[in-house]
Amino acid sequence: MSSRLVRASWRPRPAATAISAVVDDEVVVYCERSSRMHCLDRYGSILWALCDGSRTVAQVAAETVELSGGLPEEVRADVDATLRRLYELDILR
Amino acid sequence: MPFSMPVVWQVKAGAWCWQDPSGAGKSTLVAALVRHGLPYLSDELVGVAVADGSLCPHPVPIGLRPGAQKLLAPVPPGPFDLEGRRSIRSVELGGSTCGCVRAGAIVILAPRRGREPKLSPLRPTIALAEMASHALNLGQQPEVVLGALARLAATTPAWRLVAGGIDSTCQALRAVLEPR
Repeated sequence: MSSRLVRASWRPRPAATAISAVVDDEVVVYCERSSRMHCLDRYGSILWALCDGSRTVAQVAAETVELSGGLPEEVRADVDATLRRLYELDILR
Repeated sequence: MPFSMPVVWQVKAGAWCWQDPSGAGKSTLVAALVRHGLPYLSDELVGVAVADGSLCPHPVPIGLRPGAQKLLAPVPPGPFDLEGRRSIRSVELGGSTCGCVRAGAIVILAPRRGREPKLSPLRPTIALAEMASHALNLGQQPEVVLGALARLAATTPAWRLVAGGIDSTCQALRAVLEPR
C-alpha cells in the first residue's frame, strides 16, 4: 500500500464508500465502511478536491506547489504523507 | 423530512442544542431553559427538513434524574420510573411548545462541566461532523443527511458549551441565542 501511495503515477480518487460535504472551503468526509466522520483542514481539503481520479500524485503535487508556493520536495513529501493518511482512513483509493 | 437529530429547544430566532452521552446534563439544561421561558422543541429528536433546514418539534416529556430534580427544585409532583426519573411535560414547567423553526445556533454541549459556563465558537466543519455523527439515518441516506447538515452548518453559527451552574449557563445561552 505504501509503495502504491508514493508512486507518482497513482491517480487517487475518493473511495466509493466516502461521502463528502464542503463547508466554508473545508471538507468533511463520512466513511460508510467505518461509520466515522473525518474533518479535513484547509490543506487536506485542497488535496481532496484535486484527488478526483483525473490527476496522478505527481500532478497533484505539482498543482499544490503552484497553489502554495512551497518547495517542490517539501510539498511532495507533504502530499505523500497526507494521501497516505487518507488512504489509511479508507476514504481515498 | 427524511432524518432526525437529537435536539433541544428553540428561542425567538430558532436555536438548537444537543449533546453527547447520557448523563451529561442535557435534559437538566433543557428543563431549565424552559423554565427561563424559552419555547420547547424536544429533548430527544427533531426532524430536519432537507429543503430548507428548518427544525420540526417532537416535544416529548423531559426525563429528569433525581440529581436534576434537586437542581431544578421545586419539581411538580408526579410519577417516577424505577430509576427515580420524573417525566415532566414542558407545560408543567411553565413552558410552551412551538411549530417548525429555523435554527438560530448550533450548540454542542461538552461532556465536562466548568465552574463558570464557557461558550467558544466552533468551526462549521466540526459542527457538521458532530451533527452528522448523531443523525439517526446517516447510514441509510448519507449524501442527503450530510448535504442538508452542511447547508445548516454553513448558515448557522456554532458554539461549544462547557456548562457551569444551571442559571448562569441559561443566561450565557440566552445572550448568544436571542436576537440582539
